[in-house]
Amino acid sequence: MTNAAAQYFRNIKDAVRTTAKGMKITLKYWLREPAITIEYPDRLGEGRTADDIVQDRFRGFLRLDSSICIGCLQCMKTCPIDCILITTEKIGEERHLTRFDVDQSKCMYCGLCVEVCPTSAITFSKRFEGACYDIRELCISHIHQPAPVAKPKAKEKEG
Amino acid sequence: MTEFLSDEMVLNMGPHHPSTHGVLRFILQTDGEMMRRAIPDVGFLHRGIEKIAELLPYQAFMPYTDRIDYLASICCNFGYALTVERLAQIEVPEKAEYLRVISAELTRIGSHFVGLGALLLDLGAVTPFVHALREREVYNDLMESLCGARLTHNYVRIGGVSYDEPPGFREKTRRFIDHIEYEFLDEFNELASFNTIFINRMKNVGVITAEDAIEHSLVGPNLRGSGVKHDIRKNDPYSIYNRFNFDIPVGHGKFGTMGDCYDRYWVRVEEVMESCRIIRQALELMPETGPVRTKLPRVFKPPKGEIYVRTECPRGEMGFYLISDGGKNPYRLKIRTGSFSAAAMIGEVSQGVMVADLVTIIGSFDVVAPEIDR
Repeated sequence: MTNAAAQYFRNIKDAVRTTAKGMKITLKYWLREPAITIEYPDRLGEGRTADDIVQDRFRGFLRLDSSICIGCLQCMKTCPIDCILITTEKIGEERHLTRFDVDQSKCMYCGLCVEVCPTSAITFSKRFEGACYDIRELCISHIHQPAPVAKPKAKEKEG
Repeated sequence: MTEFLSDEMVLNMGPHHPSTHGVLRFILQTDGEMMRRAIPDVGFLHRGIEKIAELLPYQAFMPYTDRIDYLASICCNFGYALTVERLAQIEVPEKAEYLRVISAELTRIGSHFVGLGALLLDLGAVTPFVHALREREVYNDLMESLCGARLTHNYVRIGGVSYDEPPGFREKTRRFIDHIEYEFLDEFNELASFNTIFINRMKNVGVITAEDAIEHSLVGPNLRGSGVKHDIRKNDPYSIYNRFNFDIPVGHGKFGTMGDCYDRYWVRVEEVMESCRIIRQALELMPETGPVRTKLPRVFKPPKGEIYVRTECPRGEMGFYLISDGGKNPYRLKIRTGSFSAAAMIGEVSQGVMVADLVTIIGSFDVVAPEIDR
């Protein structure tokens, strides 16, 4: 009986001792400056924007450089969830891009379209703040007026 | 007559219970605080990933493998890429192999941190969870600088990886693993692992013998926690794992019986250290420059045939069984994951334990609901 009682009190002593050890670590971090958390979006630090808190290779919203797009439709074909819609039309002699819609609400930022693009016309931006009131706002049209497609160079055609 | 007088009650735990780690439901048959049985009800997160594989070209399925186990997406990428490469006999550049191993082991560290932290959180210790996630944030930043995403990395490609290492990656990774191995884990153990209250809640709970574990086809840390030394990285080495020197931690009843919750927990802590060892060796051996990706034809068609490749994920063996009919889409892809057998095992070991211990058992198995259902 005394043995059991001794064990009981030893258990309490152990629990208090090990918990105090843990609390010491907690206290160390509590007193530590500066805090690790970045208080997004209110306090990002001096002169920093949301773009600065992500890394260079960040896969954000897709953007299109329509001046170098050759209208090969590779990105549309490779997209696993069909969130890119491109139409081209022949106006006069030249092919024109008439539509280049990216549905950012569907996009899963996998990067297959960026990798497959022969001229790097479609790239990732660092933009990630996509909250809006209407989901249709996230379907982004990159072409507003029909734009002539760029001529593919022989080298780029292969790659 | 006694049957009618018993206090048996059926309780639902989940699918929105925070300690079931995702959308997982348990039907508990309780008798007061004691539990007769807990029947896991899975399937809430079934997304038909295996069917999607049949509808997509081989390369386009890669982003979906991220979603099998979102805590260890690179390990899943790795397994799938390896399967297709073995079937089509594609050579992977030397540097890509090293980048794959480094990123997969980093993912293992990040995944175990969530597993350990979430288990402690379920037991009521909030601080260690925050500490574990703080370190995981460093890993997230590392992966973001490497491949541009923080959770669904989609980094490994068939025939290599998508990006070369960014400048300063080696230095940052080395600093991270040094911090983990020499500073953080000691602190974490002092904060939580060696706490007497924590040990008393974990030891002798949910004991699984080695025979039981093998019989129920447990894999990964859950199997090793029962004392079975089995790790695909050692027993059936894939990629370049045979070049590294590392141990397989197994449970040996550190505080209680062999195969209890604490052993499974402790195996994960030790695995983090082993991963650090692998990364350190890989960073030294990795070539400075070199190609990271083999060029594949635009319409990629592997030869006809079938193959099964297994890899070691943080939650155990992940197997991809792929059948190809020579077309541009897989004919059939079956994915075998570790969490599925672990979820079945939860129902077995939870017979006759307290309701509060069920949370410990679920946490110690470290199941991830999307990996169960796929």
